[in-house]
Amino acid sequence: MKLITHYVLRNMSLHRARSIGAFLAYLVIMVFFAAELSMLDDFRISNETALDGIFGTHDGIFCTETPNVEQYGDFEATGVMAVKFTGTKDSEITDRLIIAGNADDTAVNLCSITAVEGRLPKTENEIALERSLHDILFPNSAVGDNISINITSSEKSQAVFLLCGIVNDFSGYQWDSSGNKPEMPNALVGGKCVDAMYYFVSVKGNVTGTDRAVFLPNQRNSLDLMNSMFGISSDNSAAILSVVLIMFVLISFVAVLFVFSRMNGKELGVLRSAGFDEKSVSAISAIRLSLLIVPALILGAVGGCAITMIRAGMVHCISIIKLAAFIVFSVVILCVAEIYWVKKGFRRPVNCELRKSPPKTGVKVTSSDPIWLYSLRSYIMNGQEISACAVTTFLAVMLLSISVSVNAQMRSTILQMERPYDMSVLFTDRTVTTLNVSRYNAGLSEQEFQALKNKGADVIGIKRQYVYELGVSDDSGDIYSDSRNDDIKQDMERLGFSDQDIFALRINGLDDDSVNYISGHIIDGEIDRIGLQTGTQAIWVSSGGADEHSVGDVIRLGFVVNSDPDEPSYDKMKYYEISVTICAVANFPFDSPDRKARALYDCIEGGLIWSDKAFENIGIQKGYDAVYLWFPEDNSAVYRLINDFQSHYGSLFHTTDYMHEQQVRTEITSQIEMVSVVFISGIAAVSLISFAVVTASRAAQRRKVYGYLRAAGLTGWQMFRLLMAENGISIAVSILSGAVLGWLLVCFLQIPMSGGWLIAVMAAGYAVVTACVCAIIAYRICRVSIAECIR
Amino acid sequence: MITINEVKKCYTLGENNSVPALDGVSFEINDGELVFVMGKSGSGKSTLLHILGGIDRPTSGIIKYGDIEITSLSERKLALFRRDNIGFVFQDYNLVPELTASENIKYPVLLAGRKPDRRLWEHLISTLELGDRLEHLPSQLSGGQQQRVAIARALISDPQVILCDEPTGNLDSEAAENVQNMLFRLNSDLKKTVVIVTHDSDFARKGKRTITLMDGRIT
Repeated sequence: MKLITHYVLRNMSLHRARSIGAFLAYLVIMVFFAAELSMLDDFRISNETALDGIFGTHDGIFCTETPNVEQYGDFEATGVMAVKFTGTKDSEITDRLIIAGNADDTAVNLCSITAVEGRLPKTENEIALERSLHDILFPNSAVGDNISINITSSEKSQAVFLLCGIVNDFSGYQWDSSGNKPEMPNALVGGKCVDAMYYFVSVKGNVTGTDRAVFLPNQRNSLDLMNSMFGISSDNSAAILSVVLIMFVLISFVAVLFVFSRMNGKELGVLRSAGFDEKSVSAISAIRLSLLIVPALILGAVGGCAITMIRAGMVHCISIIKLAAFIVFSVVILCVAEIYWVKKGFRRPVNCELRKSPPKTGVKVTSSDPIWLYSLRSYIMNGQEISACAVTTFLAVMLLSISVSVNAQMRSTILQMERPYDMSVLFTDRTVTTLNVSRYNAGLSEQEFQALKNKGADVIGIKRQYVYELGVSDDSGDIYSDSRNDDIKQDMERLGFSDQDIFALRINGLDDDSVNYISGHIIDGEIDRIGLQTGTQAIWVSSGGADEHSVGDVIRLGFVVNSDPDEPSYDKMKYYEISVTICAVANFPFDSPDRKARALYDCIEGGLIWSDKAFENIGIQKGYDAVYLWFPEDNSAVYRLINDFQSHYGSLFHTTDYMHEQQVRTEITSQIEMVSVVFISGIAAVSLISFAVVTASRAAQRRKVYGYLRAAGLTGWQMFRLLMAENGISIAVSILSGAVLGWLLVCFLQIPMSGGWLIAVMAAGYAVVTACVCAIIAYRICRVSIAECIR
Repeated sequence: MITINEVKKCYTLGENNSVPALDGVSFEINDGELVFVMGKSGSGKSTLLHILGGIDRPTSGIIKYGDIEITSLSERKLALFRRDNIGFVFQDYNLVPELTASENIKYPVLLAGRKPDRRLWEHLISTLELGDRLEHLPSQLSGGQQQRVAIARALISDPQVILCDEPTGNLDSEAAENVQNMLFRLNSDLKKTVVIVTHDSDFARKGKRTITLMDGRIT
């Protein structure tokens, strides 16, 4: 053993260049592999929560318009599921909530749910009922009893639940049982789902019956996003990518090994003929290989993880475990392969005379061009070595073809993600009633609100804007069916708007009822109706808090519109501000839920500016009252609206605040892109490195032949041509077939393509780079002394 | 005429450790002359031949073929010069294993973009008795046959100078004798300038001029 080790060390020392070449090949490949693998892990592990945090405050929204709890069976929710129960019992209309499933903290906090008796559900067969619903439906059942609920549209006719708790009456929702649409924080109501409530609840795991579930696109949950990010972020896809990557890297390793193994053939043959038995020769090969690859792979893994850490800040344990397992696996595989080749080549001492010549097959292949003659003959007679190179190239190009397509699709998805409030998805198939248009509005996020708020101390309120919809009204007749219509028309005439513009906006308009109602609560100043309607005046809704304003104060209001109706995105979102003067201060009692809703509705429309405290009094989160303005079907209306704003309100100007949310979103999307780019560049780098190593190694093996050819007058350019011709056929075939197969797989996997040209460009680029590699090797060969080559 | 003037060649074996292979060698070779270069192993014979043939460059000194100073030629011009003017015969033949005997012979001419001269081709094939071996791969030829192919290859472009590095070193006595006779005939019949590096003193004794090297110097 000592002799063997001594020989191996001496051999590696004597063949430093060869050893260093192999070491670097393994090292660099491993660096890319480790970086990619750890990034995949890092991304896979962190993306779910990160994306949830960024692409939506909540995990998802689902709604049901069921008149019964029949839809319960369609949802396989592990989180809280809230179903509005609107069935009847003893002719009494109920309008209550049932909670079933595992109530998680987020949803519970969000919905302000508290158990007044028992506890909240923890498993799917448990249920908690609102107190009033319990009293109506199951007055004789107590917590701990089993109750059964009819499920009319499910296969089961009846579902049995354990009544685990009684919860409060959800007053925090501002539940409006009078038929008016409730103003609810975090809730969206509208259109056909007039009886439905949308709750922000955590729905994790599989959600079936998605025709009933609505996910707001701006609040994409991770599942939605991952599915659209094929190959990048989903668990399965990440696993598939990892396996593909591992296989690819292993093949690259074996290709490199194969060539290096043949370079050592002469020495092993000499040893074999000198009396070394098979085991000894195999041991030499295994030790030599291990000495090369073990440190190379470990260092490569460390380097790759370092890249990930620099980029992402952490490397998960799972990555390290995977990499360690891969190193062990690789070493074993490579050693077995090496020993196999050695045994196959040197089993019998007669083989130790070394490979004297290639077989005669292929002699018939000929060409009048000496470069092609040699190249074709070499290609035919040394097929194994070239095949090793060709296989890696083929796989690389195929993977790259798929990857660039996925990347293009991913970019497209990211662009779509940047459409924060894509209401067209939500409302496409809905019939909307007039004046329900407010339900088209989506609130600003807290960050957006804060971005406006932080602009200055004077920004104390956010102006809600409504888009009025004319074309899709299911009401007959005018836009407004009551006296408000005339009021608005009169207002518009006073303001100088044409009839065509009426549909577009009604800004700060107050109807007579509202004026009368507000007038009764004015404690200072007077209502300036025209001023309110033109946006130059506002009423301050006082609540006795610290943030009071008085008559005459000038305050600034902010709101948001999207400047590009075709492609709404944060980039194209503009923040507008308007300066208004407080003309009056009012104080409302807010003594009943109905009155609250009505007051809020009127006052927000009517230009009343609410103090924070006043909002709190009626349970409104002010952050969600700021409105993103986007017309769902005909965005030209938005333009007209903006133009009208700008023409009629001289104090209107827009700001260019950059939102925190956008920054975070950018970070996430750049992270996704980084994973994709690293994957593509990793594959390209690994394959090009293995190509370069294999080609350089083959050139080194043939240095004597090349030396002779150069002695016979082969110029540098001819050497380049020779190398290109020798490798070109296999490379061209590999690239072409890889690109075609990749394209077919892309079609098969139904990945939307931005165009086949992308694959063509990639393949052409790959070909150019391989040509450059050949040129460099040719240059290197020409720089080596001919005398050294033929010595 | 080939002029070798103060040619030195040092091999570097690490920092501050260079080994002189040739140490100020100067001599001339007339056109059509047959010159043997002898010396012990490591005396610089092969190095001298490589430098003479332009496949290695001297550390210092000048080599001229007539008026052409090959030591100052660029790599490309040197390659073209070798292709047209110099033929090499090596001890271990250095045939391209993937090419048949005929292709090995023709290869230098093909590289130059020409076709082999038919008369010269036929003359070489008949003289070197390779007619029935032309389609064989090197691995299917004996040592003597391979060396004859190598000689034919060296001559196919009709170079004026033939440089032979121990051309009979790997051959048995009968094959060696044949090769020796061929090289003599090249010189006598075709008036080629032939430089032969050899260990074989009997072989060298048949020539008119012998240069002996010792430790990189002519003795």
